[in-house]
Amino acid sequence: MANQEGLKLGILISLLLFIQTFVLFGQKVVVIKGKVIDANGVGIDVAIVTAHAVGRPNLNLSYAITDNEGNFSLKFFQIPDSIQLSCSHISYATISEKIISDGQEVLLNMKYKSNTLQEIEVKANRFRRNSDTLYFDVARMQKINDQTIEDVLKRIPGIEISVSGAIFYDGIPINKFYIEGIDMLEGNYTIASKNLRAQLIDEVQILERHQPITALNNIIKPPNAAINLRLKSGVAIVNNLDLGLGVADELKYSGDMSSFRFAKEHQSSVIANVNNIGKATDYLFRDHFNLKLTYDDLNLSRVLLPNIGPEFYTNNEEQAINFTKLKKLSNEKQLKVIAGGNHNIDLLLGENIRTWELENPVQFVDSIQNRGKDWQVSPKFIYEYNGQKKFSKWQLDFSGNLERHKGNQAINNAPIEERLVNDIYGMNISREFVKTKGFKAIRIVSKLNYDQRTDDMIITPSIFIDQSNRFFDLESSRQIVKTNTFSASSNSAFYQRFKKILIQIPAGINGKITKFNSVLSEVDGQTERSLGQDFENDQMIYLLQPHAKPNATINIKQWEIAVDFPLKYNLNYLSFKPETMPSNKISGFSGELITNVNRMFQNGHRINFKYRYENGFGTLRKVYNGYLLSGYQYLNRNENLNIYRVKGHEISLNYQLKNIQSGTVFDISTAANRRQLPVIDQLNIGSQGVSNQVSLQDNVQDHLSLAFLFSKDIFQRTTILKQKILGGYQINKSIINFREVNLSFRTISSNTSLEYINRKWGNSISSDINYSDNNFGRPQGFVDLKYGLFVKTSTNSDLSVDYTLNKTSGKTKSVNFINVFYKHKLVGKIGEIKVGFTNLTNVKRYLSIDRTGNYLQQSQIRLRPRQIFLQMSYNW
Amino acid sequence: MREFKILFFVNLFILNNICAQIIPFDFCITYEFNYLKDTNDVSSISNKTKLILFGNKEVVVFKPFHSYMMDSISFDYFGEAGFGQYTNSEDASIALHNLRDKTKSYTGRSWYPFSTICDLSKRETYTYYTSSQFVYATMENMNLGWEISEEVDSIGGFLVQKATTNFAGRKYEAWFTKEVAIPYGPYKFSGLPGLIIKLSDVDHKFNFLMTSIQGPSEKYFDKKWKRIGLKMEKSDFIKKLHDELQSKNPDVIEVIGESRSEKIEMAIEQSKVNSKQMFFRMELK
Repeated sequence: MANQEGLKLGILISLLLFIQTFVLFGQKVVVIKGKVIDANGVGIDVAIVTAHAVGRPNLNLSYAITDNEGNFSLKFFQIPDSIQLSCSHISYATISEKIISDGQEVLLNMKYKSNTLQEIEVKANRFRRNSDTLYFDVARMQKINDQTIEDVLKRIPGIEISVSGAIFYDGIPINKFYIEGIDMLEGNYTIASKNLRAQLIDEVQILERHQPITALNNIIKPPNAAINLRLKSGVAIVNNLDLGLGVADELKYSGDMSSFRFAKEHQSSVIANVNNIGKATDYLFRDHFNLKLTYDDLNLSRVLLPNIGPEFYTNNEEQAINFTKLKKLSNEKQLKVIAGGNHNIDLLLGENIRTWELENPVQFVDSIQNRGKDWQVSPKFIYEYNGQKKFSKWQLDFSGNLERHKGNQAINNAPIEERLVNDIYGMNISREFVKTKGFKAIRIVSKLNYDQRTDDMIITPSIFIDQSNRFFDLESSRQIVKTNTFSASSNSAFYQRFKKILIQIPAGINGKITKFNSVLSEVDGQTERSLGQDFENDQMIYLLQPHAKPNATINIKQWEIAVDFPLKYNLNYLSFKPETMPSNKISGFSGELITNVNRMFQNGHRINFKYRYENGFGTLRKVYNGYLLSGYQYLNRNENLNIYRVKGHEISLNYQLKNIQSGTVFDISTAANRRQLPVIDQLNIGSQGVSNQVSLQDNVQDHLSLAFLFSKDIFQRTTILKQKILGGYQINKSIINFREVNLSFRTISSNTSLEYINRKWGNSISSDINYSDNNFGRPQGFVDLKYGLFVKTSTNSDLSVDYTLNKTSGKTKSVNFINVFYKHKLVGKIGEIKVGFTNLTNVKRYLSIDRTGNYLQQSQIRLRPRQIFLQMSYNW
Repeated sequence: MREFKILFFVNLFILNNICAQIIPFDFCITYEFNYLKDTNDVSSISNKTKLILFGNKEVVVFKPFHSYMMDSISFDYFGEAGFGQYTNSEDASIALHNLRDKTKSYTGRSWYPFSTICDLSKRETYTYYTSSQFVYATMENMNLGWEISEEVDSIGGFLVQKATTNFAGRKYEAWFTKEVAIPYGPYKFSGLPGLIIKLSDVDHKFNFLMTSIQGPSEKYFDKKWKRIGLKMEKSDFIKKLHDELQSKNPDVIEVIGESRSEKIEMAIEQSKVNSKQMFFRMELK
């Protein structure tokens, strides 16, 4: 039987082959042979002969490359009556002939032509994308006035840089700032971005949704992006010196020196700072114990600090130095050593007036002379292994404070030496460990802290996977306090099994799933939240972790799906009983429709459009019963039934153009939000003592925001050069135009901001009106009016005058604040000279008021009303 | 690892300086080769290297730019007498030390260990793989069946036309220009009626982009190039590479093309398990 089946199959195959043979033979193959020769009749090797239809040069009918003797043969399946033959060669002039396809041998005669090859150099694209990574060529992004890499980063669409230097991509702070793949400075990257010369950088790479832990790459994708800078020569050495000298009521000084070496294998830095202008150097040393002396720490009445720079009220003397070295031991391993020390004296002068406004007011006046002094050293060692399947990080740091004084000298009436607190020190050992297998991952973090101040040792082993406790969560801490008390706590949840649901966009729909998230689901009737998700190319793998039986019933009750373009749906059914309050219940339906277009174009345009519609309703029932507390029975019955309704539209549009060539930044964003969120009809039924209450409450919220920013920065340099040698004259003419237009308007509820800056050659004016009304329990109005004059005195220098009127309601006086600065940028270098004069009128002390009932506290800090300051910075 | 680097270095100079000369070439093209293993793996981002293609009427040579520069510098240093002029080991050691100093800016870069030389008289293409100890060579006649479409575009000022081919299990898309009558391109991709300006596989994993064209110039070249390398059949060549993958130092850069071999795939997987070092896949015919 099997043989007969095989025979039938054989006959069928033979028949097919037979038919195929006819088909093949049915096609007529025409061959045109020929020879390419030079002027001497010698055959030309490696000449390209192409045949195309007459009038259609891109329609290649056939082509061939000549052999050693110049022979070629062109094969055609279909050939028109006449064809166009082209013949080209690197050393010969290209010829083109129209021939009749009559089967005769073609002879093509080429003429020698020297240097036919046009020499060119193709510049790399300014921008290119490869998967989740964007590449920007710095040389092509950089403009004439750009000095630092921060200046270039500002030109990249999607990147925003705050005044302090923090970098945002898509509105989210970046999570890493790498230089050649190494993040030595970690969160303090500003010091590099503001000082690295753009000329040293070859390429800026933006790694979207960057996961710093390589082992978790395929498991968890954070929303943050990272930036990586590629150096031109592989090594960059940057030195920075910033010196300042000023006159106020005493001599003021400030000095910063930093030196960096960035390379692929190892990086290092030395940072030193001295100042008495209240400049903080916290980031260098105090990240663990935070030993910085604060006013709260001085056990005195809290003094509210004014909203002006610390140089106007702080008296300090600070000297600090920090060394950091990071060595890349291999592709996965790195060792980082940090050593730092500082010496600091803080002094704050002022008055504290406490008044009880009774029939006969009682008033106490304290003079404030807060004074602190500390000497601190803190070495730190960090070893990191960041492998494909494993991540391990060891951190060991010590922190010691050799001298520490605090106290109000006026009250305590004791010299500073007698107010020595202690010599305090501490230690921290921590280890973070991540291991992955398939889609499973485990992360263990354990810490051992010893703090001599409280004499506590805290051991905290914790096991978890990312912040949403997605896979595995076990955390326990144990605190050993030397006073012979002991406490321990632990909680754990362990998910053993994973189920995969594969969701794929149907063919034909132009979209990509970027999110599918189960907000709420039930596993065997038990509520399960925060389940995992992951993506694989265009499809998504959805991970469930039922901790019940292997064949657990999974019921997703609330979920959302997002497609990056064009639509996002969010459909929710909520039915939830919080475990902590089992008698409470939340239930309801809600739905959202969001369309979101976010696209960046090659030439720097970026558009983001979002429309959101939401409609939902539900109920929330809260029942509180009596409970027993420390032997005291507290009976409380209070039942709330909230019927809530959510309905609203939201539309937002953001268009951004950062045109690198013209220097134009155009950013318009508008959002209108009309939401009833929530409309709550609240019914309270309860008994507490003798009170019964029924209340209804409506709450409707409107929100409108509009922001508009237009900035145009045109810097044209036109050079007209006319030269006539015979006549003996030469004309050089340069035209330089500079113009910047910056329009901004923003209104968000009660906070209104209006800004208009128009800068052009020679003069400028800016105005800034801010109004905000903060009502935090006590009526307090706050008006800040700011006027400014900006004069561009030359290409590299400008003069600015700011006048600020600061008026706070209550008994405070308004503060008039005048600031005059002249700034000159150094040509060809990163650096500037800044001369400033500041005058505060109408006030010599900053007053803060704290009123509670009849108690009034007024704190005044002495200010320095006038200052002249000269500052120079230089980078090489 | 240090020993490996020294061996690799010595190997490059000694084997490539048998009979080196400066000879004229008609053209010189440079390509930027960019490939990305993992977009989120910072350590793999720097997989960008420069490659050089130059030819005359006899040969067309394709090799890494850094390798070419090191060869050129070594030729300048040793002269035509080559490394063999040093009769005692001490002199040889000093010479190598000095040479390493001169070429240090070209070492430590991401290496592309493959080069090709096409013998135009016989239309034979030789592929060389520079391992830690030896240079392996194999010969084949390349004939890629290009499909030329009517789609045109502009790259770097050139009018380019699209052509596709299947090579080693991957589909490649080339953009060539008839304005430059050089029927060659990067690696083994040749045979189009014009110079290949841009070449990528459809997954954009391997991307070549022409960055410069230079006219006639003199280049360092070993006229007796056919002596270089241990010649072997393609199957043995693959086996050697297979062994290389399993060796302790799999500093093998992922190469384009060449069809898949189950053994190699297995070796890759095995090596991924064994090796903690950065790993590059290799696919071979």
